[in-house]
Amino acid sequence: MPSTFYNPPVNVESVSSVTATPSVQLGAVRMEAGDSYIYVYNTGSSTAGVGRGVIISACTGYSVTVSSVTNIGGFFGVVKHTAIPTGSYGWVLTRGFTPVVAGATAIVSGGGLEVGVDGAFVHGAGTNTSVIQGYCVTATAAGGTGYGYVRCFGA
Amino acid sequence: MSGGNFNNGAVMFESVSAVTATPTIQIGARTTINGEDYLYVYNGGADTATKDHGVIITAMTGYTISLQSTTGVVGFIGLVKHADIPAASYGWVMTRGFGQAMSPATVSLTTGEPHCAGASGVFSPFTGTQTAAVNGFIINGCVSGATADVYFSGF
Repeated sequence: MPSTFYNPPVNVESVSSVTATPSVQLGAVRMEAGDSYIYVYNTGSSTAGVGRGVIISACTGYSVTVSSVTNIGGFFGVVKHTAIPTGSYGWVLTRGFTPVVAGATAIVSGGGLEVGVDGAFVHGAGTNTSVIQGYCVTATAAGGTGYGYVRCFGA
Repeated sequence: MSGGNFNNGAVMFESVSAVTATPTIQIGARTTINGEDYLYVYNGGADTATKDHGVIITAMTGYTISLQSTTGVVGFIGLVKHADIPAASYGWVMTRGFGQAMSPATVSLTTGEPHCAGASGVFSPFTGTQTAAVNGFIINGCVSGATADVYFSGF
Protein backbone atom coordinates (compact mmCIF):
# COMPACT_ATOMS: atom_id res chain seq x y z
CA MET A 1 0.00 0.00 0.00
CA PRO A 2 1.46 3.39 -0.91
CA SER A 3 1.97 6.10 1.67
CA THR A 4 -0.20 9.21 1.78
CA PHE A 5 2.35 11.15 -0.23
CA TYR A 6 3.20 8.36 -2.67
CA ASN A 7 6.89 8.97 -2.05
CA PRO A 8 8.37 5.93 -3.75
CA PRO A 9 7.10 6.67 -7.28
CA VAL A 10 7.16 10.46 -6.98
CA ASN A 11 10.77 10.79 -6.01
CA VAL A 12 12.09 9.06 -9.11
CA GLU A 13 10.57 11.67 -11.40
CA SER A 14 11.56 15.30 -11.86
CA VAL A 15 8.90 17.96 -11.30
CA SER A 16 9.87 19.15 -14.79
CA SER A 17 8.73 15.90 -16.32
CA VAL A 18 5.83 16.00 -18.81
CA THR A 19 4.55 12.76 -20.32
CA ALA A 20 1.79 11.45 -22.58
CA THR A 21 0.95 8.69 -20.13
CA PRO A 22 0.82 9.08 -16.33
CA SER A 23 3.99 8.17 -14.50
CA VAL A 24 2.49 8.53 -11.00
CA GLN A 25 -1.05 8.65 -9.68
CA LEU A 26 -3.05 11.77 -10.55
CA GLY A 27 -3.44 14.00 -7.53
CA ALA A 28 -0.14 12.89 -6.03
CA VAL A 29 1.48 15.65 -3.99
CA ARG A 30 5.10 16.34 -3.15
CA MET A 31 7.53 18.97 -1.95
CA GLU A 32 10.70 19.95 -3.77
CA ALA A 33 13.11 22.65 -2.57
CA GLY A 34 10.44 24.23 -0.40
CA ASP A 35 7.81 24.29 -3.15
CA SER A 36 4.66 22.15 -3.15
CA TYR A 37 3.43 20.38 -6.29
CA ILE A 38 0.49 18.27 -7.45
CA TYR A 39 0.30 15.91 -10.42
CA VAL A 40 -2.36 16.77 -13.01
CA TYR A 41 -3.68 16.01 -16.51
CA ASN A 42 -4.19 18.79 -19.06
CA THR A 43 -7.63 18.09 -20.48
CA GLY A 44 -7.98 21.53 -22.04
CA SER A 45 -7.63 22.48 -25.68
CA SER A 46 -4.50 24.59 -25.17
CA THR A 47 -0.98 23.99 -23.90
CA ALA A 48 -0.46 25.21 -20.33
CA GLY A 49 2.68 27.27 -20.69
CA VAL A 50 5.28 28.12 -18.07
CA GLY A 51 4.13 30.87 -15.73
CA ARG A 52 0.45 30.26 -16.38
CA GLY A 53 -2.08 29.07 -13.86
CA VAL A 54 -4.48 26.20 -14.42
CA ILE A 55 -8.00 25.68 -13.15
CA ILE A 56 -9.82 22.45 -12.33
CA SER A 57 -12.02 21.40 -15.24
CA ALA A 58 -13.46 18.06 -14.18
CA CYS A 59 -14.67 16.49 -10.98
CA THR A 60 -12.49 13.44 -11.36
CA GLY A 61 -8.88 12.76 -12.09
CA TYR A 62 -7.34 16.16 -11.33
CA SER A 63 -7.96 17.34 -14.87
CA VAL A 64 -7.00 20.95 -15.50
CA THR A 65 -7.13 23.58 -18.20
CA VAL A 66 -5.43 26.89 -18.79
CA SER A 67 -8.71 28.42 -20.02
CA SER A 68 -9.48 30.62 -17.03
CA VAL A 69 -11.61 33.76 -16.92
CA THR A 70 -10.37 37.04 -15.42
CA ASN A 71 -11.35 37.57 -11.77
CA ILE A 72 -13.47 34.41 -11.62
CA GLY A 73 -12.49 31.81 -9.05
CA GLY A 74 -8.82 30.96 -8.72
CA PHE A 75 -6.02 28.76 -9.92
CA PHE A 76 -5.48 25.20 -8.80
CA GLY A 77 -1.77 25.41 -9.56
CA VAL A 78 0.87 27.10 -11.73
CA VAL A 79 3.09 25.59 -14.42
CA LYS A 80 6.56 26.37 -13.11
CA HIS A 81 9.06 24.33 -15.10
CA THR A 82 7.84 22.87 -18.40
CA ALA A 83 4.81 23.54 -20.58
CA ILE A 84 2.14 20.83 -20.35
CA PRO A 85 0.55 20.21 -23.77
CA THR A 86 -3.03 19.13 -24.28
CA GLY A 87 -3.54 15.50 -23.32
CA SER A 88 -0.37 15.37 -21.23
CA TYR A 89 0.53 14.83 -17.60
CA GLY A 90 2.81 16.91 -15.40
CA TRP A 91 3.43 18.68 -12.12
CA VAL A 92 2.02 22.10 -11.25
CA LEU A 93 3.25 24.18 -8.34
CA THR A 94 0.62 24.74 -5.67
CA ARG A 95 2.60 26.78 -3.14
CA GLY A 96 5.90 28.57 -3.53
CA PHE A 97 7.86 30.82 -5.88
CA THR A 98 7.18 30.65 -9.60
CA PRO A 99 7.29 32.62 -12.85
CA VAL A 100 3.96 34.34 -13.48
CA VAL A 101 2.65 35.63 -16.82
CA ALA A 102 0.92 39.00 -16.70
CA GLY A 103 -2.41 39.50 -18.42
CA ALA A 104 -3.46 42.54 -20.43
CA THR A 105 -2.03 44.89 -17.81
CA ALA A 106 1.33 45.07 -16.07
CA ILE A 107 1.81 43.54 -12.63
CA VAL A 108 3.89 45.32 -10.03
CA SER A 109 5.97 44.15 -7.08
CA GLY A 110 3.97 43.82 -3.90
CA GLY A 111 0.64 43.61 -5.69
CA GLY A 112 -1.76 40.75 -5.11
CA LEU A 113 -2.10 38.06 -7.76
CA GLU A 114 -5.46 36.80 -8.97
CA VAL A 115 -6.73 34.72 -11.84
CA GLY A 116 -6.61 36.33 -15.30
CA VAL A 117 -7.61 35.14 -18.75
CA ASP A 118 -6.08 31.95 -20.13
CA GLY A 119 -3.81 31.31 -17.18
CA ALA A 120 -2.40 34.81 -16.88
CA PHE A 121 -2.27 36.75 -13.62
CA VAL A 122 -3.84 40.10 -12.79
CA HIS A 123 -4.01 42.27 -9.71
CA GLY A 124 -7.06 42.09 -7.51
CA ALA A 125 -10.11 44.06 -8.52
CA GLY A 126 -11.76 43.84 -5.11
CA THR A 127 -14.89 42.41 -6.66
CA ASN A 128 -15.03 39.30 -4.48
CA THR A 129 -15.52 36.94 -7.42
CA SER A 130 -11.95 35.73 -7.26
CA VAL A 131 -9.40 35.09 -4.55
CA ILE A 132 -6.02 36.66 -3.98
CA GLN A 133 -3.55 33.84 -4.34
CA GLY A 134 -0.23 35.50 -3.61
CA TYR A 135 2.16 38.34 -4.26
CA CYS A 136 4.02 39.62 -7.29
CA VAL A 137 7.68 39.87 -6.26
CA THR A 138 9.19 40.81 -9.64
CA ALA A 139 7.18 43.15 -11.86
CA THR A 140 6.61 42.75 -15.56
CA ALA A 141 4.81 44.55 -18.38
CA ALA A 142 1.55 43.32 -19.87
CA GLY A 143 2.04 39.91 -21.42
CA GLY A 144 5.48 39.55 -19.88
CA THR A 145 6.72 37.07 -17.34
CA GLY A 146 7.44 38.19 -13.79
CA TYR A 147 7.86 36.27 -10.58
CA GLY A 148 5.54 35.61 -7.71
CA TYR A 149 4.83 33.71 -4.53
CA VAL A 150 1.52 31.87 -4.66
CA ARG A 151 -0.67 29.54 -2.68
CA CYS A 152 -3.23 27.95 -4.96
CA PHE A 153 -6.28 25.78 -4.31
CA GLY A 154 -4.24 22.65 -4.87
CA ALA A 155 -2.06 23.35 -1.82
CA MET B 1 22.80 19.50 2.13
CA SER B 2 20.87 16.27 2.04
CA GLY B 3 17.61 15.46 3.72
CA GLY B 4 14.04 14.38 3.16
CA ASN B 5 11.43 16.36 1.34
CA PHE B 6 10.30 17.93 4.58
CA ASN B 7 13.79 18.63 5.95
CA ASN B 8 12.88 16.64 9.01
CA GLY B 9 16.43 15.95 10.04
CA ALA B 10 17.50 19.54 10.48
CA VAL B 11 14.17 21.03 11.47
CA MET B 12 13.47 18.76 14.38
CA PHE B 13 16.64 19.80 16.18
CA GLU B 14 15.55 23.43 16.49
CA SER B 15 12.68 25.01 18.38
CA VAL B 16 10.22 27.11 16.39
CA SER B 17 11.01 29.83 18.95
CA ALA B 18 14.63 30.02 17.83
CA VAL B 19 15.84 33.29 16.28
CA THR B 20 19.40 33.55 15.00
CA ALA B 21 21.69 35.93 13.13
CA THR B 22 22.81 33.17 10.76
CA PRO B 23 20.58 30.49 9.23
CA THR B 24 20.47 27.19 11.06
CA ILE B 25 18.61 25.36 8.29
CA GLN B 26 17.59 26.02 4.72
CA ILE B 27 15.39 29.07 4.15
CA GLY B 28 11.92 28.00 3.10
CA ALA B 29 11.98 24.87 5.22
CA ARG B 30 8.61 23.92 6.64
CA THR B 31 7.65 21.91 9.68
CA THR B 32 4.55 21.03 11.66
CA ILE B 33 4.54 21.25 15.46
CA ASN B 34 1.48 20.49 17.59
CA GLY B 35 -0.76 20.75 14.55
CA GLU B 36 0.61 24.13 13.52
CA ASP B 37 2.53 24.73 10.29
CA TYR B 38 5.71 26.82 10.30
CA LEU B 39 7.99 28.32 7.64
CA TYR B 40 11.63 29.33 8.11
CA VAL B 41 12.27 32.90 6.90
CA TYR B 42 14.73 35.80 6.85
CA ASN B 43 13.64 39.25 8.01
CA GLY B 44 14.87 41.51 5.22
CA GLY B 45 12.89 44.50 6.48
CA ALA B 46 14.12 47.47 8.43
CA ASP B 47 11.99 46.69 11.49
CA THR B 48 11.79 43.88 13.99
CA ALA B 49 9.00 41.44 13.13
CA THR B 50 7.40 41.44 16.55
CA LYS B 51 5.41 38.68 18.18
CA ASP B 52 1.68 38.57 17.27
CA HIS B 53 2.26 40.44 14.00
CA GLY B 54 1.94 39.25 10.41
CA VAL B 55 4.69 39.34 7.78
CA ILE B 56 4.68 39.67 3.99
CA ILE B 57 7.03 38.37 1.29
CA THR B 58 9.40 41.05 -0.02
CA ALA B 59 11.80 39.36 -2.40
CA MET B 60 11.81 36.58 -4.97
CA THR B 61 14.63 34.66 -3.36
CA GLY B 62 15.25 33.22 0.05
CA TYR B 63 11.84 33.59 1.66
CA THR B 64 12.67 37.12 2.72
CA ILE B 65 9.90 38.78 4.70
CA SER B 66 9.04 42.16 6.15
CA LEU B 67 6.62 43.65 8.64
CA GLN B 68 5.74 46.43 6.19
CA SER B 69 2.25 45.41 5.14
CA THR B 70 -0.47 47.80 3.98
CA THR B 71 -4.02 47.78 5.30
CA GLY B 72 -6.36 45.80 3.09
CA VAL B 73 -3.72 44.88 0.52
CA VAL B 74 -2.79 41.28 -0.44
CA GLY B 75 -2.15 39.40 2.83
CA PHE B 76 0.27 37.79 5.22
CA ILE B 77 2.41 34.75 4.56
CA GLY B 78 2.99 34.09 8.24
CA LEU B 79 2.36 35.11 11.84
CA VAL B 80 5.18 35.68 14.33
CA LYS B 81 3.87 33.46 17.11
CA HIS B 82 6.72 32.83 19.54
CA ALA B 83 9.63 35.28 19.48
CA ASP B 84 10.46 38.60 17.85
CA ILE B 85 12.57 38.32 14.70
CA PRO B 86 14.87 41.36 14.47
CA ALA B 87 15.92 42.83 11.13
CA ALA B 88 18.51 40.69 9.36
CA SER B 89 17.68 37.67 11.51
CA TYR B 90 16.26 34.22 10.82
CA GLY B 91 13.32 32.52 12.49
CA TRP B 92 10.06 30.62 12.16
CA VAL B 93 6.68 32.10 11.33
CA MET B 94 3.44 30.18 11.67
CA THR B 95 1.62 29.70 8.37
CA ARG B 96 -1.43 27.89 9.71
CA GLY B 97 -2.82 27.38 13.19
CA PHE B 98 -4.01 29.15 16.31
CA GLY B 99 -2.26 32.26 17.59
CA GLN B 100 -2.65 35.79 18.78
CA ALA B 101 -2.95 38.81 16.52
CA MET B 102 -2.32 42.48 17.30
CA SER B 103 -5.16 44.80 16.41
CA PRO B 104 -4.66 48.30 14.92
CA ALA B 105 -4.16 51.25 17.26
CA THR B 106 -7.65 52.60 16.61
CA VAL B 107 -9.65 49.56 15.49
CA SER B 108 -10.99 46.67 17.53
CA LEU B 109 -11.34 43.08 16.36
CA THR B 110 -14.70 41.34 16.74
CA THR B 111 -15.18 37.71 17.67
CA GLY B 112 -16.21 35.55 14.73
CA GLU B 113 -15.24 38.02 12.03
CA PRO B 114 -12.63 37.35 9.32
CA HIS B 115 -9.33 39.22 9.47
CA CYS B 116 -6.85 40.45 6.89
CA ALA B 117 -3.60 42.40 6.64
CA GLY B 118 -3.40 45.72 8.43
CA ALA B 119 -0.60 48.27 8.44
CA SER B 120 2.87 47.26 9.59
CA GLY B 121 1.93 43.74 10.58
CA VAL B 122 -1.23 44.34 12.59
CA PHE B 123 -4.48 42.58 11.74
CA SER B 124 -7.51 44.43 10.41
CA PRO B 125 -11.16 43.40 10.11
CA PHE B 126 -11.98 42.17 6.61
CA THR B 127 -14.70 44.36 5.14
CA GLY B 128 -15.44 42.42 1.98
CA THR B 129 -14.51 45.28 -0.30
CA GLN B 130 -10.78 45.17 0.13
CA THR B 131 -8.09 43.92 -2.24
CA ALA B 132 -6.82 41.62 0.45
CA ALA B 133 -7.08 37.94 1.20
CA VAL B 134 -8.88 36.64 4.26
CA ASN B 135 -6.12 35.29 6.49
CA GLY B 136 -8.40 33.58 9.00
CA PHE B 137 -10.97 34.48 11.62
CA ILE B 138 -11.12 35.95 15.08
CA ILE B 139 -11.88 33.57 17.93
CA ASN B 140 -11.78 36.01 20.83
CA GLY B 141 -11.96 39.66 19.87
CA CYS B 142 -10.11 42.56 21.48
CA VAL B 143 -10.08 46.32 21.76
CA SER B 144 -7.78 48.48 19.67
CA GLY B 145 -4.07 48.09 20.28
CA ALA B 146 -4.46 44.69 21.96
CA THR B 147 -4.17 41.04 20.96
CA ALA B 148 -7.01 38.82 19.83
CA ASP B 149 -7.08 35.03 19.67
CA VAL B 150 -7.26 33.99 16.03
CA TYR B 151 -7.05 31.11 13.63
CA PHE B 152 -4.51 32.07 11.00
CA SER B 153 -3.97 30.73 7.48
CA GLY B 154 -1.35 32.54 5.44
CA PHE B 155 -0.15 32.23 1.85
